[in-house]
Amino acid sequence: MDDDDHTADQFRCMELAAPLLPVLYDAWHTAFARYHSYDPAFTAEHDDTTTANCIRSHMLTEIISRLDGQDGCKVLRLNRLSLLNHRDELVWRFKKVDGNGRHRNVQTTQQQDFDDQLEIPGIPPAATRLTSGYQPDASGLHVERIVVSRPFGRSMIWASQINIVDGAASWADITPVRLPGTGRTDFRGRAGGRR
Amino acid sequence: MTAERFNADMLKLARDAREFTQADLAEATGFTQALISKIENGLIQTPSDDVVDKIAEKLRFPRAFFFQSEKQVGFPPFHYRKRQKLGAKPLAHIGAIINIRRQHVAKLLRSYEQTALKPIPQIDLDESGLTPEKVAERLRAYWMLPRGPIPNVVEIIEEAGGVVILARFGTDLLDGISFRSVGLPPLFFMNRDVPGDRFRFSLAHELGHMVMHTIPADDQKMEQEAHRFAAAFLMPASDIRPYLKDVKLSALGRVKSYWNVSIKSLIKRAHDLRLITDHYYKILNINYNKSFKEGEPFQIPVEQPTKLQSIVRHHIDRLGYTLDDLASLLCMNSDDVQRAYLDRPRLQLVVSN
Repeated sequence: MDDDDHTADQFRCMELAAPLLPVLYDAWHTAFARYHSYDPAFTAEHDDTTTANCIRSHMLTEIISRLDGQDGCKVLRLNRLSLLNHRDELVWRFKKVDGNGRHRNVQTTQQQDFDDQLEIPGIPPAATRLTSGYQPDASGLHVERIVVSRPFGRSMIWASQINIVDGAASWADITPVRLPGTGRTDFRGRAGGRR
Repeated sequence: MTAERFNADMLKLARDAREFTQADLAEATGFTQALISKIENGLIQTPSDDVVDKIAEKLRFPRAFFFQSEKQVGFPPFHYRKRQKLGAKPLAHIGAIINIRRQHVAKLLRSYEQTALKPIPQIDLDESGLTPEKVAERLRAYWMLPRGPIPNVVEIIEEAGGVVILARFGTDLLDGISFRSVGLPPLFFMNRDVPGDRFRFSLAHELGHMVMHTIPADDQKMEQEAHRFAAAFLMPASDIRPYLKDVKLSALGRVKSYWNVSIKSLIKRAHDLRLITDHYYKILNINYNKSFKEGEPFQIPVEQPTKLQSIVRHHIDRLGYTLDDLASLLCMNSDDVQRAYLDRPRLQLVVSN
């Protein structure tokens, strides 16, 4: 996939995702706020992984209550993967991400297959796999931004930041710029090995 | 206490309190700077009524203020947490505020009995052979403070008989000053315009001075000891260690919100307790400075003292003082009394159904 393809792919996916963007944006903020409404005596004991797991769990609750069974959305539970299938066109994972829109933790083979856009039983094969993520600020106490990315292998094909302005959702391309000569990560990235 | 004689020290104090130079005051009053200088230096001991009235008006103090026989106290040779950059003029302003407020406390306490079951002790490090960390540990035990974070440092100090006074220092280069004065409880003058977490640490630092430093010694050594005391008092090693198992900025935000100390002091504590290497400490500080240029997230409100306000209330409610009586007692304008001692901290608007 070259630059033009990646841009076209990003526009296509973000257009399909458009009805979900305000919901995802709000749901992440709600999940984050719910976690930070815990007694600080408890959250102070949590490490970053525990925090991310709790927030993700609140996020899934939000997704189920706001989207499951509505407007072509269905929540899928596949072993360690909790996903949202949107009209068999987009399948979403929910993750904490870093400043580049990437998630970092050690993954199962199934989770890697998801990111690598491979066929997984139970997931419509034609659907594009996306990650919906939140990036916390340096202190972990606030949401820095809400991100949609299309992961692939160790890297990603593109990433978008969701913005809400006057109640309307929009997005901006935040795909990390590669150093000249290193090339953009594309579908051949799989040959580069797995995490 | 009032005297028949004009007190030149009080003129200097009033001028510093209002941040007037002699030239400023000369310009405001229409007198020459030479006249102001001679009065301040005692060369003119009985200025005319017109001169005193004009000076009193421009400096916004009642005439009686200048006839008090109070002696100005200098800065304690230690016991104040300041940064090197602080200049002479702001220091003089702060000195004036402290002197005036100290006089108020002395006057107000004449008609107020206060007893502390467990007053702030004095422990000499050399005599006792204790470290600042051990002193902090003993003090927590003496005051029977439970394990974990201290919810309110001001409250503890006030319960132990100390008086905490919030003041506008007009600079963020000085956080607090504390001292013991004959016939008075330990006084803690704290800069109200600093973040709440820094306020708590500075107050604990001043408490360390009050407990450990009866006799002045090497300034830098005392500062380090007070700093070690404050860190151990607010974050006892055995209590804080489990919370510093994951020393990353992203985790320390949550620890801050429970312990009510700054992320910066948590990083320092982790390093002091040898939970992180020198190299990682350096990296964390670089990341900290990059991430929190505009200040740390999770604002902790400045703790509000209540003792002085309740002493003033005692004068009004029990002793029948009016605002004017108080102004007369304290040699202040009524507006200043109201602002300094009776106005409540700003409240947030709460909308209920």
